[in-house]
Amino acid sequence: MDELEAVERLVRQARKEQPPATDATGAVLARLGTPRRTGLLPLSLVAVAASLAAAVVLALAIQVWSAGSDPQAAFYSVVEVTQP
Amino acid sequence: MHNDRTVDETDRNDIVAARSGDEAAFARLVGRHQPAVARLLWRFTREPARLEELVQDVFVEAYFGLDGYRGEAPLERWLARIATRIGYRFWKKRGRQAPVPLDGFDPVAPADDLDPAAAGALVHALLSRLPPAERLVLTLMYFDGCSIADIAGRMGWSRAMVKMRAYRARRRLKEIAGNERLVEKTGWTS
Repeated sequence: MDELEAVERLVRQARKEQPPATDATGAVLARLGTPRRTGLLPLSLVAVAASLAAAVVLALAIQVWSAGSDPQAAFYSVVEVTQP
Repeated sequence: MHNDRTVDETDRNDIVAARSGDEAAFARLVGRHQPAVARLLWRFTREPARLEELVQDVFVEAYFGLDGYRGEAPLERWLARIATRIGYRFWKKRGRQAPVPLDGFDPVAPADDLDPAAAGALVHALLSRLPPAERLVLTLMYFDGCSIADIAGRMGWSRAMVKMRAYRARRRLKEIAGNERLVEKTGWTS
C-alpha cells in the first residue's frame, strides 16, 4: 500500500464522522435583523443632528435679519436734512 | 447532498415565502439544510465555534442572494456552492498557519475500526499542509464526492485548472504522508 492509498483509507473512515450538532437558526435570524437596525440608526441620528443645526442657523439668521438696519439709512437721513 | 435535478416542493414554497419577507419560512430552510452545510464545512474547520460562524455566514449570504436562486438545481446544491466558497475564503483569509502536528496521532489504530473522528482529524491535519486551492480540490473530491467538472462549476475554475490542481495536490500529499511515515504508523502494508 502506498501513501495515497493509506490516506484514501483514512478518508473512507473519516466520511463516517458526524460534525458537532449546530443550530444556527436563531443567530442567522438575529444577524439578518441587525443590519437593518444598525443601518438605520446612524442615519436617523445624522438626520436629527442636521435638522437641529439647521434650526439653530435659521433662528440666528432671523434674529440678525430683524435686528439689522440698512447701512445707507444714515446717508439718506443726512440728505433729507440739508434739503430745504 | 443528493443529486436530484428538481427543487423540493417544500423548499420551493419556503423560498417564495422567504423572498416576500417571511422570516419563519427562512428559518425552516435553515433548519432543514444546516446539517448538510455543517457536514461540508466541518472539512474546512474543526473548531465547533468557527464552524457555527461559517454556517451562519452561508445562510446570511444565501438570504441576501435568494433572489438570484433560479431554482434550476436543488437548493442544497446552491447552498453547497456558497458554503464551499465561504470555506475557501476562510482558509485564504487565515493565511499560512503552522501545520497541525501529526505526532499527536501516533500511533494510529492499525485497522478499519479506526475511530472516524480520529481519522477525520488526521486527514484534516494532512490536508492542511497543502496550499488552499489544492487542499480544496482534494477536500471536495474526498469528502463531497465531487468530480473535476463539479469542482470547476462550483468554484468557477476551468476543468484544466482543477485537473492540474488535483494532480499537484496528490503528488504533494503523497510526499507529506511519506515524510510522516503514514503507512508505517498505520501498519497498513497491504
